[in-house]
Amino acid sequence: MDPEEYRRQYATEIAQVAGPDQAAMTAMEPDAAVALIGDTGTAVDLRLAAIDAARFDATSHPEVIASLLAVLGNRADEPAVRRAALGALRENTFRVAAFRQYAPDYLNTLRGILDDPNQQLRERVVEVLALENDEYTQRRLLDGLENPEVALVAPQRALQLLGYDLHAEHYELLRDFAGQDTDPAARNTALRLLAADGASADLFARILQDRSQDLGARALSGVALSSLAPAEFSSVAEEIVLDDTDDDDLRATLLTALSHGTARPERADLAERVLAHASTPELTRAAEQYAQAAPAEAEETTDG
Amino acid sequence: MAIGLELTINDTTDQGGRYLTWAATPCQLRVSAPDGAVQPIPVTISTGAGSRGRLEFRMSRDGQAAGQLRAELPVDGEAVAFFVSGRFGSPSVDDGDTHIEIRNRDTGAVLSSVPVMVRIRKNANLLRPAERDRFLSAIARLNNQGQGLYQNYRDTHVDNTRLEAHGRHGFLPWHRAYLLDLERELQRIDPAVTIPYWRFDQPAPNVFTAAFLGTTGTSGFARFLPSNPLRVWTTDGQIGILRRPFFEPGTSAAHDDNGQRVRREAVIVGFRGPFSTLTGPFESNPHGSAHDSFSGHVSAIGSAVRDPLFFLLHCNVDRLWAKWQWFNRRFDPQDPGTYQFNGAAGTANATRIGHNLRDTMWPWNGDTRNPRPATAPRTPFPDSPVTHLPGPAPTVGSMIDFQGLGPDAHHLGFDYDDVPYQPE
Repeated sequence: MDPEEYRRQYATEIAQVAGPDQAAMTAMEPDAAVALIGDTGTAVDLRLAAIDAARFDATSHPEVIASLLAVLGNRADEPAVRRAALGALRENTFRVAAFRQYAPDYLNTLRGILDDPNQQLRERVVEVLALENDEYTQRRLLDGLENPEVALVAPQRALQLLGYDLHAEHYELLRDFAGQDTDPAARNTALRLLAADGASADLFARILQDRSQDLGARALSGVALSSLAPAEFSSVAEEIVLDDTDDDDLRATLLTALSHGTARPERADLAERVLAHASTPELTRAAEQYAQAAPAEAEETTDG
Repeated sequence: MAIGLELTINDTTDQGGRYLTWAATPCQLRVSAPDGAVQPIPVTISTGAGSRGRLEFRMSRDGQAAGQLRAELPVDGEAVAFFVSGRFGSPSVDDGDTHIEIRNRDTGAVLSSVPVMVRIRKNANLLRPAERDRFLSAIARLNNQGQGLYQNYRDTHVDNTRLEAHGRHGFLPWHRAYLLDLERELQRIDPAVTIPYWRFDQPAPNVFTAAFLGTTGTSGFARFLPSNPLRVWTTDGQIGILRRPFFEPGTSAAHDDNGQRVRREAVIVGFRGPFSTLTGPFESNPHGSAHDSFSGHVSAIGSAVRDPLFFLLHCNVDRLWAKWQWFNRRFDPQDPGTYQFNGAAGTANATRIGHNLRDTMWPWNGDTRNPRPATAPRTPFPDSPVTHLPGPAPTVGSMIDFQGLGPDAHHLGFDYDDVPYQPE
């Protein structure tokens, strides 16, 4: 395509598409925006429009940030306006240097929402704070795992959120969840988070080989074992991969771990033997990838 | 015995140099074995028959592009210089699927056919399955379940390094370097790979699938097919990618949990103001908005790189900047409309170190003195067989003219499928 002709076509497209949005690149006057954002007597759609217009350069205007924080923290205000204020603030946190002066007030406002009656906003804020590695929030999450009556979120979600800033002292708690079978979702999350815990290697090996276990837990255990104990994993995984009475998706996952994980593919005949009896496209595909990943020298040693 | 020719592409005869973009790439063609010829050999240089990509040729870097070139090759081995580029709109889909063909004009005989690749960053939603799979395999190998080089990228983009890369004018140049750094490491694993971009202002039904970047699982973790290498993705000693979109990726552009959508491409590219008034709003929206259209790892600076989607998102951010540069002709680093802070830190009217045109960028410069972060996980900047630029310690300014349009400039080895090369 001729670049000059392309430029002409693109200019026409821009003129047609961008028109109304272009004005939004220039923020609304801060005073006007602040007046609308904070006025609970104004229609919600007008206040949302004001937040929309003010958000683009909010860090340059402390009064805009202050009004967004005030709306966000006001439990009596409209949930949609509060969520929009959170969105605008979140967006501006990516302008790290400019936002730094507002960070303490922002975090304090968020912490105040951890007990907010609005569930949707509360759950969003729990994650935002967890992503900030906020110690107060981490403590609240741990408290909730020990005492469900004070839990901010369900156990599975609490574990996920703690995973943003996991510490070694959390491993014991995680092992407890990995060892129980009353909450499979929390158990699987715990297995994911324990993938660097050397003390859990035996647990992973047991789960992987136990056909009575949940398939998701077996697959996660296989992936974890492949990085924790590559040699042991290879041995166990090859046995399962060659067992055509075991689950095909699990076999395919283990082949993927062998070809793209830390445990290197060693048996060149493994793919060939799987392909001879593969009954699902995924198993076939995983075996083909294994064959491509297997080193050439391994092809000469087919017995194993 | 036949006439022997030697073609140098990107200053090398090695296969590693045979990767092209839309930008003019220097070539030299010479007779290595004249086979008894005593007169100059008349040749035509063109795209070989059956090529998937298309090529264009120029006698000078800013000359008129043509589908073929005529040259007279001296038999004494003196080289004829010319430039080759991929024809805009016709990239390769596989390694070596395009040929530079040299024919004897008198006899019509093909004297040489050299395989090349028009290697272009593409829209992830339009990738062929083989292109998609090569990218996934390469990035999974780079990560190696959290024990590979990918960890360096993870360590580079964390909370205590934010100020090097965010919040000021260097935001876009720094991330351009960061993407190129990762892409070069991927190309060491598979030279045909480029980073695809996720166009977040459009639906992407082919991106958020179990075969590519994953669907949304009920657990909050992305779900993958058993054969997808991301199925075993591990970072920080944890398995999986926590990600839940607030939008329906198959039918909607990205938006946050309140329906606030990312700013559209036309608004960014059509913005006529200088870079200094573009970069701030751009960093908030669409960049921040795109991150914030998910819950999970990708939604915060400190954890975003745990999700490989980060690189597709930022590839689109970089594409938008590149397209704005092309549409508004903003490639001259000294033009204040292209970049505001054209000095160095510590001089008059400078901004924070690392955000001025002549500043080198952390981590590639290895500078761990205050106010830089205490460690530098990626140093030096990786070299490439197609260019030695931007060098081991890139400056902010070295990221501006990525196509090598300026005097004595050279391309950086990447281009986008919808951003042409257009010399003045």
